[in-house]
Amino acid sequence: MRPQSPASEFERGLDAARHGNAVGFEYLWNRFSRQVVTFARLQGSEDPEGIANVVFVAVFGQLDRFLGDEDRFVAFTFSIARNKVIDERRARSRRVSTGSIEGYEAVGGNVEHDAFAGLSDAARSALAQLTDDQREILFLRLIADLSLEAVAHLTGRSVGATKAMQHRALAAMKKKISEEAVSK
Amino acid sequence: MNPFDDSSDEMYNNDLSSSDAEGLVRGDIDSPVHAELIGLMSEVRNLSAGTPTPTPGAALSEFVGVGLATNNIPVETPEAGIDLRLAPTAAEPVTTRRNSVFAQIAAFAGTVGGKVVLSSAVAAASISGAHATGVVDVPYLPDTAAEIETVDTQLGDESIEVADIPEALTFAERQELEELENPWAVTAGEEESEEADKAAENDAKSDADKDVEKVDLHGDIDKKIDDEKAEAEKAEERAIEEAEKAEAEKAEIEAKEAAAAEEKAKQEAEAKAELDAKKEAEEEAKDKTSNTDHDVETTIAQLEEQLERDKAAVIAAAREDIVYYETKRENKEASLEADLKGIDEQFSGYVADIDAQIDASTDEQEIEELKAYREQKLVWWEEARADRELAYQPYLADIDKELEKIEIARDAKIELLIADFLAAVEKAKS
Repeated sequence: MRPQSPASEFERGLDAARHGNAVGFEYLWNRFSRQVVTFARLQGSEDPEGIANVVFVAVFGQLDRFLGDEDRFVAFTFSIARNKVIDERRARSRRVSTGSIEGYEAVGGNVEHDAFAGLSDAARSALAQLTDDQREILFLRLIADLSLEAVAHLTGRSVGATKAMQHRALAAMKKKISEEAVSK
Repeated sequence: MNPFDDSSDEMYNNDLSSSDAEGLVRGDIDSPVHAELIGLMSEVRNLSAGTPTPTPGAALSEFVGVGLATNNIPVETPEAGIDLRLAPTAAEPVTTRRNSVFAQIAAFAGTVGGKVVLSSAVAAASISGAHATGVVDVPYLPDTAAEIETVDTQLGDESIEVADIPEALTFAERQELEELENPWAVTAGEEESEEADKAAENDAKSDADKDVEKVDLHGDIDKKIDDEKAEAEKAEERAIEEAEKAEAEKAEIEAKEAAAAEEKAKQEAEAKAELDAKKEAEEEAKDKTSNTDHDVETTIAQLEEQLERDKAAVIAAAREDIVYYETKRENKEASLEADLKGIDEQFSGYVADIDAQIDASTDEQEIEELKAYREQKLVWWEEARADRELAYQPYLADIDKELEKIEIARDAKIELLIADFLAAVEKAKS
């Protein structure tokens, strides 16, 4: 699971932010914003940093209502991030639906291309063949370091279904890797 | 789904157990079998580490800036270089009844009705004050308020309006009264009534008495002012009361609305929870069915493969025996053929000798005897061939029997394997 930093450190940062202390906000931002940006980018967001900003404004605005430890905070943050990415995707699809086919290709193609920037060709091709749901589960587990149960709760699925989906994703990736190794 | 389709994911699931999959995602597995996947997982997992910390946008900076301005206490954390030891507790604002009243007035003043009531009260007070002091003249308002004066009568104390009883006052008293009613005209009045003053000097009443009465009248003015103030305060209190009442009504309405909203939210939440539970149950059932189907298909596929392997082994073993006996048979047949060929050659030799003797002989009887001999050799030849073939027949028959036994045994084994397979499939399905 997540490498546990001293519990008091996170709690003190959270407590400071709860009291409106800028240092607390800065601590939470520095600690978790990169994960949110990476997740948003891998999920095809056109503006990952914008997503991170919106997410943290929402998170900071609701800190007084938040109860829980660091794991719950991460789940809370990524549930907002997931919703924002979905909202952006919907907005983009609306834009595209009123635009031209060329527009769709430009948006979809570029976003898809940029989403996996920084990954090797093998990783790109292995991830590209997965379904959106499979990718989302993998990214929530790998980037946010959430537990299987947390991902299941966050995505609104049962633990069994989430586990099966994760298994199928990994099996498909392994198959793809094997096929590429044979073709070489 | 075809369980023998190598392209399906499920076939690969056999190589990737559930525990392996979970270990790969958690990063706590180190198996060379999954080396490529481990590397790929690590690559994705480390992606955020290589991502630079984003720049806070304007909205976020403003949000954080408010916190800085209101609560700028230095705090440090080990990670961000800031000390959190001094994480402060927000000071609670002092709440008093006065603040509460002001807040209620402000809330009342915020409403349309409040604005109308308060502004009307302020305007009326201002205009009344200005009119009373003579700064402005408001039509239809009396220039002098009806004075209430207590005078001694024979009937006892009673209040009557001074203006109604001018004859009850002395001249000096009336002058004083006029002075009070119109202080700006006091001097002119004095000048105009100089004679009257002189006459007043002859009045039986002393100046001391007049002074006393004047002081009393001034006291009445102060009282009026106090009364006006009191009235204004009462008006203010009434406004506050109305504001409080309006606030209370508003709070009551809001409380009712909140209760209704809460009830609605509760009902929606219950409905949603019920729907979620139903959905969850359906999905669980679906997963269970899916997993069970998948397991059965996998098992059948394994059994099929095992059956094919066993069949191949049985056929291969039988084939070896068949080849052995077929070779043996071929050898026997070759031997028989050789024997028959020897008999043929021997017979041919006999016939050739006899025919040569017949050709060389001139004796008819001898020729007839040679021909009879040749016929005997022909019979011998036929009998010799038949004997030889008959001699080999048991060997060949035995070989054929062996071959037949081998094939029967082979087919029986295969039938047995198929029966076992079908039984195993039925067991897996059940």
